Amino acid sequence: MAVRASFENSNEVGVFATLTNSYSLVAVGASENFYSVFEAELQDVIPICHCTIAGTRIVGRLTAGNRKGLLVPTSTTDQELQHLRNSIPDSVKIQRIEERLSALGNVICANDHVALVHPDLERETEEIIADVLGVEVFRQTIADNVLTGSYMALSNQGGIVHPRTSIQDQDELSSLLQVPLVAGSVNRGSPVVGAGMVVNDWMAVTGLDTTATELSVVESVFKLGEGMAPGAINTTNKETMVESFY
Amino acid sequence: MATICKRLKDPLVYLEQVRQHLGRLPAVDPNTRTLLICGYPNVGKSSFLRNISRADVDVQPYAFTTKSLFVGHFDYKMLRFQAIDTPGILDHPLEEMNTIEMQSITAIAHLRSAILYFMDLSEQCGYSVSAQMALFKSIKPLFANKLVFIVINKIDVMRPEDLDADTQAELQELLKSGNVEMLQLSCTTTEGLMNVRNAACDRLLAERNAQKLKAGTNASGEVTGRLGDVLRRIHVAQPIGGILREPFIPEAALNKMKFDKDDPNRPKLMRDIEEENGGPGVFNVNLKDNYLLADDSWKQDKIPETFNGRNVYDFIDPEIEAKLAALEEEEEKLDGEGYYEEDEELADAAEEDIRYKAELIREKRQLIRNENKMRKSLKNRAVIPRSKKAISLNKLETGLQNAGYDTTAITARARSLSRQSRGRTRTEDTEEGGDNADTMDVDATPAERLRRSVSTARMRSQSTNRRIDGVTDGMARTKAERLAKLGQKKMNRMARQGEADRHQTASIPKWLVAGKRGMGSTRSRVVVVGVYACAAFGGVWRGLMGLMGLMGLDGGALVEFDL
Repeated sequence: MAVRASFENSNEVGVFATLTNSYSLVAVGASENFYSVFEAELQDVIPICHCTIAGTRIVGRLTAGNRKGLLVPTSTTDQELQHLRNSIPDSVKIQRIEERLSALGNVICANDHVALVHPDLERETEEIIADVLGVEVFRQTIADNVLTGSYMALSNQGGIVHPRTSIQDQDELSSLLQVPLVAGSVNRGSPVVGAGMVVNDWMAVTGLDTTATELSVVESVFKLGEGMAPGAINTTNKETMVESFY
Repeated sequence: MATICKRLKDPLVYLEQVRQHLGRLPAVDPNTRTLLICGYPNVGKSSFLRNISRADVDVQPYAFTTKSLFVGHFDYKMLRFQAIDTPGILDHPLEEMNTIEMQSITAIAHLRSAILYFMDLSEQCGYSVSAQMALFKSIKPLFANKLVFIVINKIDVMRPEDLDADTQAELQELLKSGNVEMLQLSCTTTEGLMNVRNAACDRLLAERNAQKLKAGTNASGEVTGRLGDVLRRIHVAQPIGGILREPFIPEAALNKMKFDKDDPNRPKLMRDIEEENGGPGVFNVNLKDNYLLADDSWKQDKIPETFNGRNVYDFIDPEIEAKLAALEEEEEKLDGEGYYEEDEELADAAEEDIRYKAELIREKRQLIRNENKMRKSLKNRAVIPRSKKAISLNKLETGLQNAGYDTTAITARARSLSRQSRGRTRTEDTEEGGDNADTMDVDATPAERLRRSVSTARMRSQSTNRRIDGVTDGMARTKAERLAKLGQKKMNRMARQGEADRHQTASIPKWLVAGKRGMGSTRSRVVVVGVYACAAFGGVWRGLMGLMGLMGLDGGALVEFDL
């Protein structure tokens, strides 16, 4: 299930929300419209938490998490941390990280098994990521971009990377992650797929400008919905893709 | 301006009409995926467009209902297609076609599209099948490099199979001669409608794709330019190696009913609650409602941020004291075991010496820095340039001696200068008795004594000559004098009064400048006082007196003349 949404007229859904298999964080906005998009799909399934990080609404870019854990930057206040702890199930570890690169959502891209991180992350941070999120950590770049979290959207079932990632890089990353990958865009051609959408194993939320073709790629590669498989992208939908991207 | 506008009225009216006409023209995108519908009048072209798109085209049972191009849009395979309905065409030479027909011809000729040639085998349109086939043949040159379909409409009335053998053969011939596919549909029963549309769209897409792939590949079969980007995007990288990443989807997510916003029994969302409570801006969400705590009554508890001057959140762990104690114990133990002791062996004598010297250098540097800072800070004193400051001779001497110079000459000179300015000069002594200093004191001669006794003591120091003051030498002085004379020249020539001339301003007695006057002022009248009348007025005066005498007035009285 992939849905389109916008946060106060911004397409960058991944900036204002974090979505994992066991919880979801949503920024506190002026209205509840954005929150309700998540609520409609996730109510009574996983907790959805209104929150701020360091008083800002860009929770999606400042935090990184998966089913087992949540990492927040050092600028998170004690009250915000307590609020998160109360809202998120106890099985999820929450850790505040002292890291110079404090936009953790931009530098960490993780599913429940593997995390790709910014090459300049500190060694201690790398260890904390491995411990808290329970993942293998790899320092990687995506299409020569160091911001792995911005340029990649990842779930346990698949992943989308920057549209200009070479086929060789895609194959390497795919072997590293052991999930199928495609190079794609969201929000009518935006290459920042990590910031333009959020995804977990059964749903995705993209920006309101996302085209039907882009959405079909998202649904196929993340296997969202009945009979969706990444193979559809270069078989049944190939003509459509060539027609719309060329 | 108004006249010009009035005169231009007709052209302006025409332009306005043109503008409106252009505004009503359909937005035909020449590059996108296009289906072009053409054929004889009344064969059901507009009905087809109505059925496959949202275009609201007028359908009437007479010829030339459609008088211009109509564009309808529809989606197929996530792509937007445009279908263009054209006016009917009659089979006659190009030169005889009217403007309405020419629109169709132009569209067929110039738009890159798939062409659907509509035929009505039932002949309800009023044109025979053979006439329709003849038209197809005559406009066939326009179909070069285009996909062409013959669409048989109204199959609910008549199918191609029902045709007589000759016509059928002719139709088959038509299909074979060009690369033309036959499709069948009925707009009234909608039979085969979507098949026709999809078949046409599929062929069109395949054609366009093939063209694009060909265009993006160079002669040696390598992918270039944007096609490379597209191929990158339609590549699905599958992992090599057999680890299966298990998805984690909760049971609740799989069983969750799809949310339908039009369902009256839909679960209530925060948005609905917000609407009920005054909408955005008024409603404030309670963040504590969704807390997952052991006891629901704890949810709304207030927790102080600080307590007894300490941050509460630093003590949030109930066992924090124990943990701290354990940590401290471990630390002490490590300390005791010498875990933190550094290996000090490397500090040998040479290094010690270097360190000591480095420390000295640093200290000295700091001292110099401090001194400079002190010197630089003025502390409210005026800045006196070094060249203006007095330097004592002693200092000069020692400085020069330290630098290794001989100072005797300088010292002598300085001494002589300083002595010369003091007291009276003893020129006589030095001139006359210089070399016989040890001669006896001799009493002065009486003439000398007299001269000394009558000379007066000089009470004040001699005034400086201002004319030579500030000029360096005689040459400069003459020059300055010359210039001064030059400056005076003009004034002297005109015998003008200069600023150095003595001048006394006229003094007017008080009674002349002040007084009680009824009307006017002192400026407007001249007071002539008889007794002070000057000689210049003497004659006039006498005349007046005479006149007044004749008039019997008293001549000694004060007389005023108003001027």
